[in-house]
Amino acid sequence: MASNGDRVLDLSETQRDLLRSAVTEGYFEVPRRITLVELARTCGMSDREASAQLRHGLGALVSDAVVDA
Amino acid sequence: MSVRADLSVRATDFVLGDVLTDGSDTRIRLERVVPLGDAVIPYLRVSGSDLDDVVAALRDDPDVTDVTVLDELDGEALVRLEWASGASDLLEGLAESDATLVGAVGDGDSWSLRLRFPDRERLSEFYHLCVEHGIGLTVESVFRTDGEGWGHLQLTDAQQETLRIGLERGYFDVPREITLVELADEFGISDTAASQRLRRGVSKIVETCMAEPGERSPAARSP
Repeated sequence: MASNGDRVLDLSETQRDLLRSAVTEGYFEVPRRITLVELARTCGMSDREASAQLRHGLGALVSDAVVDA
Repeated sequence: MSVRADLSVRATDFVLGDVLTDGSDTRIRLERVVPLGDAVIPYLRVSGSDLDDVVAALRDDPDVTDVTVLDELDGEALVRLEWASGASDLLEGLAESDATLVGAVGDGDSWSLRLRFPDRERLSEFYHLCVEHGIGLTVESVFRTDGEGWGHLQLTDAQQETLRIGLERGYFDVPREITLVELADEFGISDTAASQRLRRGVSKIVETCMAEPGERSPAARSP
């Protein structure tokens, strides 16, 4: 798992901004306050791009939490 | 209680700025820093399309007194450096503040550092030391670590386990290696239940990690 430990450091500025917007706009709330499509539009990217970037970012954060909480 | 901080610093304010900002695809990972008498001895993992140029640039750096390439494989080199004493205020500040370097990656025009400090006072001390030396430092996030694994995130066992398995099976990969339904099957729960566990767990992690420095969240504080 050590190989994943550094991934959060690889968070790009795009991923960081996207994750911050996702939090502020309520993307992680149950139920969600914003859809992926709306979130993508807010951040000026396609929904496919937003989905991929979000997942990369989340994977990095989750792996970081598992490895080094 | 120790704290972990993610910081970024302008490449030109830290070591090897010239090597990183020359427009190439060079990427340097600071593997570890060994304090030795007055000096600090860093081990670097360097990758990029032109390792020879990077190593040559390191040898030319006036602050670097010795460069040893310990290993070179697949376009990546492990390099041991010796720095002239006083060459890096930041590295020496780290030693003074009893900080442990957990990880550091430099590329483009900045270094991302992850550090662990014995307590918040030491982090604060380090921060002010950098400010005094004119080092452009940005605090990305600060975590309290209480040595209880995920304890500080207050995840339920179910959330934690679902995330851990999800991560292992590639639920966060692009493209995904496992679907939500398959993941739910592993736990013998509905996909709605799995989805909620994941989303609640992920949301706690993201909210903690993404809190702006200075913004108070359950587990993050500014220095």
